[in-house]
Amino acid sequence: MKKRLILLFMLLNLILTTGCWDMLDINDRIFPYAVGYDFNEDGDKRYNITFSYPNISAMGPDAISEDLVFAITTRADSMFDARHKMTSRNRSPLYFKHLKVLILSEEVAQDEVSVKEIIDGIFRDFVTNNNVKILVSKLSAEELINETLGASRQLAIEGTIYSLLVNQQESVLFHPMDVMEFIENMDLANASTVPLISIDEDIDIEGSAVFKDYKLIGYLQPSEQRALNYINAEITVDSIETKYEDAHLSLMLTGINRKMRLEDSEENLKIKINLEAEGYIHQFTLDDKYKVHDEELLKKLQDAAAKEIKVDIDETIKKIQDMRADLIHAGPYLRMFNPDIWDEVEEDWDEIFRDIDIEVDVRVFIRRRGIIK
Amino acid sequence: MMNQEKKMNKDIKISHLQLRGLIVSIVIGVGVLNMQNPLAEEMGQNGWIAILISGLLTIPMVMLINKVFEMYPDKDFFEVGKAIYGPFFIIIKIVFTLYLLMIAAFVARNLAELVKVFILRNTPLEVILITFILSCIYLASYEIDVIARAGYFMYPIIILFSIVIILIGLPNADWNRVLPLFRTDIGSILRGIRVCFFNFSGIGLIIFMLPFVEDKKKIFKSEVFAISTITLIYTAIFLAVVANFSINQITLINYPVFTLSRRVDLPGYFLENLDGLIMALWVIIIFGTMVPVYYSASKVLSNMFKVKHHAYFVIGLVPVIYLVAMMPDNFIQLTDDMGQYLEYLGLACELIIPILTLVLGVVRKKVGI
Repeated sequence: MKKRLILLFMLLNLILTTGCWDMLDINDRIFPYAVGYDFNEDGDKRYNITFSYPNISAMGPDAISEDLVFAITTRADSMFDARHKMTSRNRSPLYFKHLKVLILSEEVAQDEVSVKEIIDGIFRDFVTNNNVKILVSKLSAEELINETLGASRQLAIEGTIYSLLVNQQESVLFHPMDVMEFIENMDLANASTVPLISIDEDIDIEGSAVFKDYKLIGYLQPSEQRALNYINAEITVDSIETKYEDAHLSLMLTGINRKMRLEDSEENLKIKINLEAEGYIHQFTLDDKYKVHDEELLKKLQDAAAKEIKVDIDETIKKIQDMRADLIHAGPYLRMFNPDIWDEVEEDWDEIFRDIDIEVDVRVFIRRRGIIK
Repeated sequence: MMNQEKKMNKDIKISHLQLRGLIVSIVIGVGVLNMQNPLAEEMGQNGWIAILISGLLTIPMVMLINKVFEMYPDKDFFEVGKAIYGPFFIIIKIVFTLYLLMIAAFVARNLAELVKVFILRNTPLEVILITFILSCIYLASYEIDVIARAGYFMYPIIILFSIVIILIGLPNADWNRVLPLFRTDIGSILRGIRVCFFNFSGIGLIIFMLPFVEDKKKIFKSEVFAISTITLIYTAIFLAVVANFSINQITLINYPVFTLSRRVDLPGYFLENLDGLIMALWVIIIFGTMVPVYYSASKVLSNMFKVKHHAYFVIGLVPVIYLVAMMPDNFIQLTDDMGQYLEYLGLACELIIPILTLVLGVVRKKVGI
């Protein structure tokens, strides 16, 4: 009898002590997926903060609402201040656990104090998702978010911007950057890129803004960002279009490998980067002259592709050296593998980085030629 | 009465597997979540060196304790103490009581703080604290063999916890961050060892278990096995954290392991923000630390006041632990001030007292008093 009572008690426990952990059902929360910061020109609050969040009533088979996503703007000093102000306007509280995207307008990004505050808030808060992806917009964040609502591709529940950013198609024209990685880059190299978002009929994420000391200092064109992705070996798939003699060659790169090395040099620091990319031929030409079946032709094709890549890379390296932004992580490399030299140069690394020699050696290996010769 | 107690004690048996499990579950506690922070502050990416050295240094510590019990076979901690210190044993008992109560309070308060911020945001801290202490009563009022069985039960959970953390760390890990190796000086290694030593404290509680272990000859082997397990877990977790964050970030983050678990972002929304899972496993780990400490504290007290069964003190200590745990006003007082006292008391209880006991014991044997 006693045993049965205990058993009953244990079973009751299972039923009575489970449920939603803080007595708030999921449909009583608002999960903003994007937050945008603009400076507030008038008034005492510093920012115009815009949230966009999915409309739960528009989901599921019994949807009663048409709009999939709502946007709401308020004046506040921080994201958390904005949340408190929203309580008087919204039926449920905002909950930042699933925040995905942070959009900074150009002016906010140029202000070191603001960027440090905003990033700190996301990093410090117990609840806020640390994997928030950062974006910079030349348009004001409020306009951008409101434009996104009308975008034709507004289908994804988690938000159009985020679904572009998670980069399922492996675009090489930008490099997604989340808050933790951003801080990491700042700690390691004092510089980081952040993808640039723009609206021109449609949402477009390409190119990037260059941050140094938590402050926007310049931009990289999409082609430059692509070259940077090559240098940092951060691409999985990309196609290379090049010309060989009078034929057009389309190559699919499926992998890239980078090796950085410090070359012995008397007068200047010289960093050598060896890039080895491999891929296969996507499209060439049916001309009999160009049958791909001897090693010699293959070598020439490989060299042509490598040359194509190297041009962009050299330009990009020159540009980031002028910006004094160590986006290729040469400093962290020295710190890890040549600590003695790093101790000497650490103090004025920014200046030294501008003047070091960086030599990039690109090699392309064509492993497969498709199903025809 | 003596006879009766002796007889009761004779029935208690701990197997070697249970001893290993118990040591691991006592030692691994709060520190597994946050020791990476102070360690990285002192030694940067080389912190694992201090963990390994501390692990090695713990072995002579347990050898000291083993030696004392070898000199007095078939006697438990209290009988040995009485034989060696005579009437002065009361001082040692008081120091031990202070130390054990403080650990219990420290552990309970840490748990309550974390549960509050991560899970139960609207529940008052006091309620979480008192619930946790109350849930430890049941197990702590049993004898050590039951607790050892529970410790053995928690052993795989701790291993699972570490494996989960390491797996979480793998996808984004950059193992080059461990470089450059060995660029550190003696001063920072010593400070690093000090941090680690604190996280190895609790190993001294074996004084309450050793007399009951089945095969006395194999004790040392089991202890070394347990210490290696702990060292391995600490090192692996430290390396996983270093491979995922920059050193500057680690020195900023209070609980690097939690932040690491929140980094998980597998495509397809399959797994995201694993802090809930880590939290759940960690609560069990803390329970495994709290219960043996609680048990030992009430055992010492019951011996001090000559009460036959320690369960009375288990219940009596609830308000004491609660009050001590509520003493720090903020997190700085909790981690820095309270941590400092614990460090000194730990040094006294786990290193100085065993050495003193051994020296006095040897002297007494030689002189023959």
